[in-house]
Amino acid sequence: MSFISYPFLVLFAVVWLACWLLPFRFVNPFLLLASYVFYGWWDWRFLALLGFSSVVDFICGKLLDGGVAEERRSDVLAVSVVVNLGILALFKYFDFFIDSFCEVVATVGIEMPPPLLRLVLPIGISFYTFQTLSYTIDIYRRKMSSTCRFLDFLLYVSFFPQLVAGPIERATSLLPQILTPRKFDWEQISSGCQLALVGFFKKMVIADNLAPFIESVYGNGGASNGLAVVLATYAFAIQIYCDFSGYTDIARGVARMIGFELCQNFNLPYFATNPSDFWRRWHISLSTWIRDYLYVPLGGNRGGRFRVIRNLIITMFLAGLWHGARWNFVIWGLYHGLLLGIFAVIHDIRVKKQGTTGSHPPEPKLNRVGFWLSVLGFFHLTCLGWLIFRAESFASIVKLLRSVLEVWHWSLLNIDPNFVVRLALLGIPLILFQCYQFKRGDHEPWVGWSLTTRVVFYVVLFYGIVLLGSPERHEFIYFQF
Amino acid sequence: MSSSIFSSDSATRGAQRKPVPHGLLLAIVAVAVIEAALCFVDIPFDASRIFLPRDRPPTVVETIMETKLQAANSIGNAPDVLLLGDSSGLMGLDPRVMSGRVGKDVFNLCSISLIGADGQRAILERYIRTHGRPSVIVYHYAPHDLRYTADDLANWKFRQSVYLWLAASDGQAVEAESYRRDEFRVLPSQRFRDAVQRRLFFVFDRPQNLNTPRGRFGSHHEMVEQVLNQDGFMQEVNEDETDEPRDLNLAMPESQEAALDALLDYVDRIGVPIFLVSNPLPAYAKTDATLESLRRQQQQLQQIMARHEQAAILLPEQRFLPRESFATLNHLRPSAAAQNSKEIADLIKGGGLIHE
Repeated sequence: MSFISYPFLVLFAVVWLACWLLPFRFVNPFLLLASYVFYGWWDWRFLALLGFSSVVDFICGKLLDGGVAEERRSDVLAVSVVVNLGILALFKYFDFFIDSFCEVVATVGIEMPPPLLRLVLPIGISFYTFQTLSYTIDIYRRKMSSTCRFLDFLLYVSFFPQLVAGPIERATSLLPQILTPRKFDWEQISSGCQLALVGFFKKMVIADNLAPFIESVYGNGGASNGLAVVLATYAFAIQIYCDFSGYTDIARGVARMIGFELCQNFNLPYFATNPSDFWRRWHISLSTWIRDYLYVPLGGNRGGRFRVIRNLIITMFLAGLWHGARWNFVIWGLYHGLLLGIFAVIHDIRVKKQGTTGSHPPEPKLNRVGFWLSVLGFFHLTCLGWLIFRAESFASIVKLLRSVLEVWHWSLLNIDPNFVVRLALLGIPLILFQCYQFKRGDHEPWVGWSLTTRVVFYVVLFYGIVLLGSPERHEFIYFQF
Repeated sequence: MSSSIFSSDSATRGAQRKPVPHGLLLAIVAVAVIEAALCFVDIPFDASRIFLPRDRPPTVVETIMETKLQAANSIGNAPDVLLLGDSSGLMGLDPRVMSGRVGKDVFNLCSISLIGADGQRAILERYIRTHGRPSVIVYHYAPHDLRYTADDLANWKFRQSVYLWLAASDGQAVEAESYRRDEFRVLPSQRFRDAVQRRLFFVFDRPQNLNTPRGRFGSHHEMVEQVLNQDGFMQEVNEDETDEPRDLNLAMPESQEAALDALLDYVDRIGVPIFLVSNPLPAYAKTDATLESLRRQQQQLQQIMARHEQAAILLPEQRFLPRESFATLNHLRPSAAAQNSKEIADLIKGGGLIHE
């Protein structure tokens, strides 16, 4: 079930009433049922997979928390990791690797038809796999205790607001909220409603209205003129941000209305001045997950410069692969790994020059001009990454880049004026509003506005969604991951 | 402990005492007032964008509909022979060939089968309002396309668009009616979505959309010019090589019978003779099952004809032609269309069917 659907509005109305009218002992089972209905709406058969993954990790959690001898704990963790990543590999990566392998051996003259499984990818599998893995790893690391409440654990894995596209919640944050009775609070409900409204606006008005134009350029196999590619890439930067952060806002808003606080997933990412800053602002729940469970175990910032760069590239390669079984995601991950590596070297040199010491020396302060130049520069590096991310094949990446670089072939002709107008009308107010949020250092500045301003803001958002929401429904981009 | 708002838990009750969110509540009231007011507002609807969307080249079918509706809506003199019907007539009856045979004015108003007989009647009514009555109407149909059900026609929405176009061209349609019926509508404001999007996003007409070629059919402008220069006739450009025996289901659903009945009622009222002509079928479809189904269709048609004094079937025997005559199952190739036109014209002339 998608957030952008009438069945969801009905389901949520029922859930909201149930959450605040039922005695607490019935609320979590009801939320679990609603979460399974929400997920099963797409394909009920994948509920078994979700349930299986949850059961395995519940049992592993119990065993890790005193259920087995100390020396067997790593075996139990290995079972959890192998089962979860095994399911993910089977459904998401098997065909990709087999196909790629067959293509490689074909280049040396060995022709073999790839034995593809052609399995349908269960929606949100990458998100709930990482979420449930964090539970067993945290217990293994003795950061938390296992829960003995099976239904509550099932709800932790399947909690519907964030099940299919995050944020990837840690058990240390979400499980205690599930176990504790929620308090009815009008202000919390009101702010959740506002946040969800902002999310719907970002998704339905901004992201969905830009989508057809971007598709017309990128879906063209890279055969567009360079200026169109540049505009479409700017538009895609806006689209993917509004699509994904819009989903997060809806998820956080909806969760807040029923008494839960989910983690922040975005922090004005296009105000990043460098790659490290970007990953502290973009898809925060994933970047912190890979930092804690991948980068740090690999060695993190410890060791020499080469070792750090190696760790960054491996981590970002896997982060790219997490997004999907396609080479452009892998290249995108490596690209960001490379940017992080280069930045680490530059940062190292600058810190040494300034004579700062410590394991995590602060990034040097930038003056105002330097800051905005860094923001602008890094935004364009991010856009180059988005071009790689959005392209449909490796050949397409090459064609798109070539058309951008051949500046002398850029032409205003053949660019749909509707595209330019829509990009300006949707992009400029968004940028201005983000500047305002950045200046105030507040993600929900409307909370502090005067009553009249707030009323106007809500009404404008509401009618924006009703009247300007794209007539074509575009699925959330991150659902495919 | 309970999470209920009716809980006796002190902490929960404490939370309940917090002030209600005035901003949100006032916004809800404002929306309610605006929605109530919008129930009484409407704005005229621009007919030209029904079949000529602003943001993409029109499809071939959209071009056909726009051209035929423009022809029906423009003021002029009625021809002696008016050709009405679906695309089998559009591409199977050449008025210039027929005119040469009968020595009378002939005009082809045929469009597509996806609007059903009631859509054809709506176009005919408008044509007669703007041109007056012809001496004879020839209703040309593809036997295989009489099978469409009421649901099929409703789902394709072409018929609904024809009604809307005709109403809008009279200034009687409003934005509210253009709202897509397949979308669940809750609020009165949703009726204005298209209009608001057009105005706020400054949707530009793209002249190049109407000049964009659509495969073998050429651009919208090229097609309009061709149809106008050929008195409403359009040449089929496809070349289908199908030769597999094929059983056709030709049974008419009740809705089609009723629509055809209503069309013939109208023709009775205006007192113009109408002759039904079935498009030839390809020889590869002449199977036992097709013939059985055809017998049933012809019985249905005869029963309808019996109720109308002005209506008759021009060719009681279904014609089957070699595959080479066909571009698609329902469309004749240009050479076969010329032959078909001569045959129909000769029957009209020979039978003395045109009253002076």
